[in-house]
Amino acid sequence: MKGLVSFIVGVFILFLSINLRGQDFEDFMEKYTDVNGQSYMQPLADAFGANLNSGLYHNAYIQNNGFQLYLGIAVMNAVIPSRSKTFMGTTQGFFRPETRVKAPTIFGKSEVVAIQGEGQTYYTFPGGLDISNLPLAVPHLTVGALYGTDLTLRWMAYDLGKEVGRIQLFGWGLRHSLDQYLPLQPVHVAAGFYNQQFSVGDAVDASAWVANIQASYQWRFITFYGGLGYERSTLDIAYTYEGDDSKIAFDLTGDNTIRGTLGLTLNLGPMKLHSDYTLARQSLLTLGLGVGIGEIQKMGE
Amino acid sequence: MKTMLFSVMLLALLMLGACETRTFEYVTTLSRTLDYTVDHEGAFNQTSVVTTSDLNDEMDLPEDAIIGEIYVEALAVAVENLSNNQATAVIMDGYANDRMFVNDLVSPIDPATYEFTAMANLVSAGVKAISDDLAAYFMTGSPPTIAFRLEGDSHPTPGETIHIRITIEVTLTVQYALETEFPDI
Repeated sequence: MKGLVSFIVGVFILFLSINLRGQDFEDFMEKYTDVNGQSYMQPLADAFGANLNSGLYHNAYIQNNGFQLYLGIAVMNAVIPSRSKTFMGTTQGFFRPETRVKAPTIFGKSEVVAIQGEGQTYYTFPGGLDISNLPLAVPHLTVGALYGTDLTLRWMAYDLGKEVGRIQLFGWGLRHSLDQYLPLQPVHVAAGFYNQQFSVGDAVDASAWVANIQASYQWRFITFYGGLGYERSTLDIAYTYEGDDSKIAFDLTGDNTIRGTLGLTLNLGPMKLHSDYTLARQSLLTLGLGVGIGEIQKMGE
Repeated sequence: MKTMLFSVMLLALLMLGACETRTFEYVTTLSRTLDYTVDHEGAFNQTSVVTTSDLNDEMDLPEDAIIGEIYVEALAVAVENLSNNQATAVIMDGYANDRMFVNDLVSPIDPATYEFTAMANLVSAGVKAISDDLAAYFMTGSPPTIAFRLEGDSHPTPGETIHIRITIEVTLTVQYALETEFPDI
């Protein structure tokens, strides 16, 4: 079990490349089997959901009918705002007097906060990871086009053994060109919807979806792009704490709803290097690198 | 262009891979209940002994944990009415290894309810002594036990027949630190 919970954090922090030790996540969460735990974990849901819903496009041009392909990797980095590093925690149990205090979230300072109560008793709030960024890297494939529509897939799966289970990400999206109906040239406009599911064994179940309107403008080898979107995400964590077999479960909903994105793509032949910034309640920066074919409108089309 | 692409990939790898040794602080909380069955007329004196090594085992701290502060988070008491009990309440003093941690604690005995309530009248020095004993155990392995003794009588009328089960719940918190290889983010 310890391996499992450690891996949960590993996945969230760096998806596959973190070297976090065995019992750490359980140690972090042990104190939080109560209402404070929800607030402690909420920023993780915000940042992880925002990351999943990013890096999904880097232009808005879709052919009517023709071969169009992009295969690459997107690295998203949610910048953790200071407001997401603390929450107002309330003492629990038989500690007296009941007290509210500013305590670290999972991203907050790593130091424990201890407050004194009656008769030299102390209530403690766990520290956090003390990090300012939550990166996430995912592989990405977009293929089209049929009647001005393309399909995006994100997929990865890895079996980490009996104790941890299978880590799996599956995402899909459909995008339809709007500029084929509207006289918007030279600006391309598309509407997209993307849905993603992420799981780690039976312990983590995350989902995210975003609907957006995308636009792009081509200037020489640079594509300027942007979009407005509406997004929702959930993060459900459930595991059995091995100390006393108590169940720990959090059903979290990401705070993000409206997002605005601006970015640019460098079209270096078939190589595409793109970066954008998303402004939202949980803002983030995206960097992508991949190979694209048929993504630039040819002269005269 | 090769340089640029290489730089981008290197940046991504650094972002994903650079680690540093960092110290994180954790807390672990343990609740232990102590049972006292009182079947007595008038003043009583009962002791329940906790073995500190058992507490350590239950906490199951990582081997390389650096123990920091040890706190008593809360003390709670519940009293269960047993057959032929005449007392409507008891008044008690509590001692941990002979140091008073609660003074004149009045606990009503309600045949209809059995629930924990936070202890009133805690004695700061005695509560701290519990923490200190545990800290000493983690440092030196001693004391090996903590004896929790209750002395009391029926209340408000002393000398009544008391047949009750008293349960004390002691909630302890250990703050500890671990050094961890962690990405520099």
